[in-house]
Amino acid sequence: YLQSFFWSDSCYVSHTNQQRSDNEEQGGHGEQRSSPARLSFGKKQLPPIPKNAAPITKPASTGTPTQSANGTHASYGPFYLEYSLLAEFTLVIKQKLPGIYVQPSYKSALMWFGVIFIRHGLYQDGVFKFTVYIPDNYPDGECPKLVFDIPVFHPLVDPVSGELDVRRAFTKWRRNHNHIWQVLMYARTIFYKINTTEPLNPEAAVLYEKDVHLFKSKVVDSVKLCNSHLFDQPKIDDPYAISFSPWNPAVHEEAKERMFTYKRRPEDHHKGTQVSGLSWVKPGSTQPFSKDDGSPQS
Amino acid sequence: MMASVVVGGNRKKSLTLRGVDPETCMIVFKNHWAQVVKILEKHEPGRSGTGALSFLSGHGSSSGALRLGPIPADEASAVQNYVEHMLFLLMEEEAGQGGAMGPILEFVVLEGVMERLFLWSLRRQFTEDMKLEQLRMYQMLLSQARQPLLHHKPVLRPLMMLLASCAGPGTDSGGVVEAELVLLLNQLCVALVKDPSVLELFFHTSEDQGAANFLLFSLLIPYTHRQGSVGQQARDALLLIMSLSASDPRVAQHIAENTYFCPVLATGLSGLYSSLPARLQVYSEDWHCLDQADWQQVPALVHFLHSLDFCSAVTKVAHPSIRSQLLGYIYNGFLVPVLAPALHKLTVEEVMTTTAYLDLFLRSIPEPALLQTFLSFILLHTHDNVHILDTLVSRVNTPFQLGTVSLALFRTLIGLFCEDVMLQLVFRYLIPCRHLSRKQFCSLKQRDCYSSSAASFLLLMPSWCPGNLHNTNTHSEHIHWPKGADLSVSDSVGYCRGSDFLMDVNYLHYLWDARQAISTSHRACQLWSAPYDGINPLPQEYRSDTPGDDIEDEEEIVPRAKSDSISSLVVTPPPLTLSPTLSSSDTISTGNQAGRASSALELEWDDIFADDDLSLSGVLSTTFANGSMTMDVDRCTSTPAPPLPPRHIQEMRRTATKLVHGSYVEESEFQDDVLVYNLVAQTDTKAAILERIMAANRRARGSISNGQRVSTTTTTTTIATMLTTTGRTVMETVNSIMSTRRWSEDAGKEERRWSDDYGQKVRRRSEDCGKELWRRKEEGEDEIRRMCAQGEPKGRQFFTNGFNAKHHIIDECDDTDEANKPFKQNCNHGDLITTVKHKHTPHQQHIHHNTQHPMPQSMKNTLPNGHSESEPRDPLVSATAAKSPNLPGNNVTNKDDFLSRYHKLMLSLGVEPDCDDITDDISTFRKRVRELRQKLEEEEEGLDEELVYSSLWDDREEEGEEEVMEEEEEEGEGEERRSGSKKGSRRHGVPFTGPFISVLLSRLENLLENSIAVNLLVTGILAQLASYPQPLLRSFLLSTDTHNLPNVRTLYQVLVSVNAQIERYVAARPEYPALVTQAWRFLLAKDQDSKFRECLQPQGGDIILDPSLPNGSVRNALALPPLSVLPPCPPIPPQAKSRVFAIVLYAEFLKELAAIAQEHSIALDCSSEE
Repeated sequence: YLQSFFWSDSCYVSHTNQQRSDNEEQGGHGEQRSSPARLSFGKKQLPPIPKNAAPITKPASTGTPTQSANGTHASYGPFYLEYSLLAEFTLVIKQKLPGIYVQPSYKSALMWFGVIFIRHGLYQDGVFKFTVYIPDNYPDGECPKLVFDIPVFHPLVDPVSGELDVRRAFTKWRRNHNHIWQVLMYARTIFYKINTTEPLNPEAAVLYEKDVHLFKSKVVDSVKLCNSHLFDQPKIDDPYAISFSPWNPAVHEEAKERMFTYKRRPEDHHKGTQVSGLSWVKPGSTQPFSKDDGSPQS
Repeated sequence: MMASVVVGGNRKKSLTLRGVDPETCMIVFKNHWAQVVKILEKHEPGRSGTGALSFLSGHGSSSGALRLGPIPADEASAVQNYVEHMLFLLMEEEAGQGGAMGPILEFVVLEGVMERLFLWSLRRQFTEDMKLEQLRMYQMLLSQARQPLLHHKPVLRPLMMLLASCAGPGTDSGGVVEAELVLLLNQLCVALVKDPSVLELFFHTSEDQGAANFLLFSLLIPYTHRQGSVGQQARDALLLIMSLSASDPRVAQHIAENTYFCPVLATGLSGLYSSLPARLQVYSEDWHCLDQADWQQVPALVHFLHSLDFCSAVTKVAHPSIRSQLLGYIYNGFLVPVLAPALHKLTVEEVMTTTAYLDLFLRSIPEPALLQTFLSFILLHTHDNVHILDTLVSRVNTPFQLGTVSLALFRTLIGLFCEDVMLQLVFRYLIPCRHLSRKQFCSLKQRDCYSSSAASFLLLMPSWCPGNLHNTNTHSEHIHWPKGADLSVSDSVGYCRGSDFLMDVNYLHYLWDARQAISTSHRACQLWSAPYDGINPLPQEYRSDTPGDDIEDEEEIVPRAKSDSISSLVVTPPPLTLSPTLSSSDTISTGNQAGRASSALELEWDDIFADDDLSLSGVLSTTFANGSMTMDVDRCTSTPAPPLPPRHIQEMRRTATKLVHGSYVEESEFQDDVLVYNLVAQTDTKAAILERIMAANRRARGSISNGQRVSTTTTTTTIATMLTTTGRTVMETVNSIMSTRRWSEDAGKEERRWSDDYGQKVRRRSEDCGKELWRRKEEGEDEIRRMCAQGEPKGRQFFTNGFNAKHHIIDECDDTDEANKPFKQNCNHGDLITTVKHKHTPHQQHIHHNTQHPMPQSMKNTLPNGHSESEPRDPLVSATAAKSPNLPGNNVTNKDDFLSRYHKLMLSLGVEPDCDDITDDISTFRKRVRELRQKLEEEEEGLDEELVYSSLWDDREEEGEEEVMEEEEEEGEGEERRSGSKKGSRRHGVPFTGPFISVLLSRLENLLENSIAVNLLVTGILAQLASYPQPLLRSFLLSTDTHNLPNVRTLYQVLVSVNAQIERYVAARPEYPALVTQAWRFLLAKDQDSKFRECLQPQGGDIILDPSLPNGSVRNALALPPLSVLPPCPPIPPQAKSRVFAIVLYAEFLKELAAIAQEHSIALDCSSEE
């Protein structure tokens, strides 16, 4: 149910921005297809009992209950990891990284789907889908992996696996200092500022150094290739995987409409239980009832 | 009867005027009128308008005078018949073309038909029946006429005359006329709103009558507070006019300037309030607020709420000028003169009741403007120089139901999401960020990404808790989500789940609730003026906000410290107010001195934090010698205000004044305790303290032979805090003694809990005192000598008061003391406590001796009007107290016996919640207590040491002079303490996070001893506070950082301490873990069950839950788990119940906090971070 917490926000973000970028750059190139699962989520709601609350990946131990102090910790461990990832995701949303959209997978919060739009430079018009894999001992493990669906022609991207060399930027993953948004940010940076030291794709590195023209044309080809596969089914079958489809008014028009008329989701969501606070404090003052309409007894 | 004929007259008419030629109708009408006129003229002295007016001007007498003679019945009924027909014709007439009058109406207007008919009814005897006829006639016309009638003066004028004539007081029997009158007025108001142009005419018509202005409105005012449908109609009508006023400034102006509407409304509230029960019969100690089921049973309360609701509605719809006037009157005419004193009544029950009322009012007011009035009363109004809010906060810590009710009030206040309230309660103490270390300040806005707070909270789960029954020997602590490669294999996310399924589900609920609560808070707080994130408002700005504050350096942080508040406590001379029974000559004679003293006091306030120069003490001691006078004069003569001292000084002064003025011994005592809190918190120094106390004690006892100074010192110090906090007039003292008595009658059941509570506090206090004492003893002795030289007759007066206050305390102490012992043993708090206890008792012993004798004298002196009933009791009690087992040795020997009897006693009282027969039990209880005391007394009798002490003191006491001296010493001791604590406070430079948080935390720390209701309220309030989105509050409550500034007491620390208490408590009781676990499972299952039912409810409707349905009914087929599926409620011994539940609650509270912390970490909408 991780996604159920946040899918709507993220979905919204990606939709809107995608729309915008489409209009800006690609002239109605395509609208992200809404998966049926998403549509069915009208509102964020935590089911009273999680779908998979019963132990499935780990059989209940037959051992006698231990009374160790970290027993509690252990039992709540999943919550901590889940909330750590949610917090990371929240930070991503807050960062409003230009041209980058991510969505945790339905099946595992440790896997995020993403897409990056390149708006300037050598890779202009590139739309690269990728997947982020987060180690399951996060945040104490290594840095997350970022793998492009299609290996982009780039010195730092493995030409076979499509994996981005993230580790050079995060030699050691430090909790509290490193966040997943930084990885995403880094993924964006490489397309604007090209680094050729210790490349994963030596060919690209060498070309960039020796023959920029050829490099450029290779990049253009790569971008074209990626974009031509845009409407492919997602590599990983997941309800929350990001997929594109050509503009279809029957499907997208209404969603687009909603997007642009959208004000604040939480408000209409909670209309029923609207609680409005009170304040008579004048901004900048720390005295109660300091607003001009003042207190009646004065 | 005309009206009845009119109403019932349809039988004659075929109601089918349709199709009848209007001409014909007109002719019929005219004919009828001609007949009527004939009769009228026969009996009319002359047709003139002035006649009508003269009727009005004094209709009572003049109508009698004008009557020429009886009117024959046949003529009267003939007129009735005709009129009936005519009215029918008039009603049925359609308006003419383009809205012109129909011919009949035109005729009516031209001929003044209505006016002549009115005069005719006056001409006959203008009885109630006659009024009814006329009223009903107009009602009918208004409701059924097809053309507007009120636009025409000849119709309106007699109507107004009729209304005016009906308004006379006392003419009505049975209220029938009133009912009809109000109905008609209501109709008129409806017509007014529909067609405001009529308003013009209403005003003009009114002008004709001179003073009688907006008659319609004036007539309604008396019914404002009427109960029943008449009142409701009148209020509806008034509201219509109010809404009219919003758009018509003239109406608004008229109402605001020429009517008593607003005063009537406000004073009406006062009147209705005074008819509310001063005390509520409360059947359960868990009761804490008036919910609907409660207040609906109290008609007076229902009535009040209706009126309050009306006020609220008026403020909502009326013109701003009316609104502000009304709010002003409510503030100055109800809140300040009525509610404020009611909140300071003299018995706990009365105050408790008032608090519950206030809570109910706050919950019932939907209109922000009115709510603002109430809130500004609570936040800004000062009663006896104490802010209402501070008084309310201080009461949270009272152990009685008052404390519980006060908590409920704060739950309501917190739930308003009102920035002003939160500012005063919490934020103003947090804004300066003095409670944060630099590091903490920097991380204020960081989110707790890795749930470390949540983890810390959950780690506090007692080790044997069901939550911990999870298998912990798992291979790893990490979640096992399928990784990318496995995705095709496994289609779902799984958690490692232990056996306690409910626990996990229950945690998910907490997460969900936390999410809701946080988003609700966030949305509600969007209106707020600032995010309270450590940046806005700026910490420095806040400080420079107050004049004179800018010179603060780090030293000045001190004043906000809790321990400083203690010192402020101590500083204040005990009896602040003079009893009215004091001879005025005393007051006058000391006037001058008092003036000086008061300025000395000012000085003292300002200098208290300066270096503790001994030269200052001289001034201070003067102050003290005149103590009681000083403050009194200070307040009465209101000397020209000196330049405002810095804010913190003001605050401290206020606190001190509050404490001194505190209406309740309990209140101030416990308030005081809150302030002692921090000192006590330093458990690591406990041993040292203990050492000192013991040393001090030894020394104290040793020095008795030399002169009683030191022992007095000890004594005084022990109770100094209590003493200073309970300064009050003799009257107050006596009253509170009586109220305590009453309380003890009512609160027998609570006694145990309370005394436990109290015992701990006394212990702390004594530790505290001991510490200070030791430090300052030598200095103090010097002081004392000096003071002895200085103190003269005024001192005596002062001490007389002092005695009373003290005596009262002791009275309670005594009870507590007894109650305490079993608790100590029970609780197994360890040697330390017991030792402290023993050390403590000799002090008390001194107190008893000290006060025993002067007391009755002072009572006689100051209370000639005889609250005699308290006298016989008090000496007895003191005597008993004096002989209570104070010496350690005695304690030991008596303890068992006493203990077992006490246990029996408590059991007989029962911790049983069913307490209907409490009054029966009380007498038994009291008898037992008395027996107990007597027995103790007997047992003590033979104790040599005790006797030595007694005789020692008795001897001394024969000489009045010496007595005074002794008291001087006591004062000196207070003095001594003051300087002592001054030093102490400097050492502890405590960033004060405010009394409200302190009080909450202190109640939380008492979790094990609290009632279930209190625990639910405290944890509920804290959880709600923690859900507030403001980083300052959030980080303060949810931070589990253990590197806090010294003496910053955080929620987490308190929870750690409670955890320790629980572990200790349970360690001594092997049966507890099982008991708690059972209870826990039961509660969880029950909770789950009710949630489940809730979920089903929307589908099945209410009926599904109807237990009366037969089992075989269709709805049961929806597979509700039958209640029998629930695990049985474990058999918990009644006396253990609240503790067992407290432990469960503790664990659940940890989960709740963890969930809140986790949800905060992922909250998207923290505006402050954007």
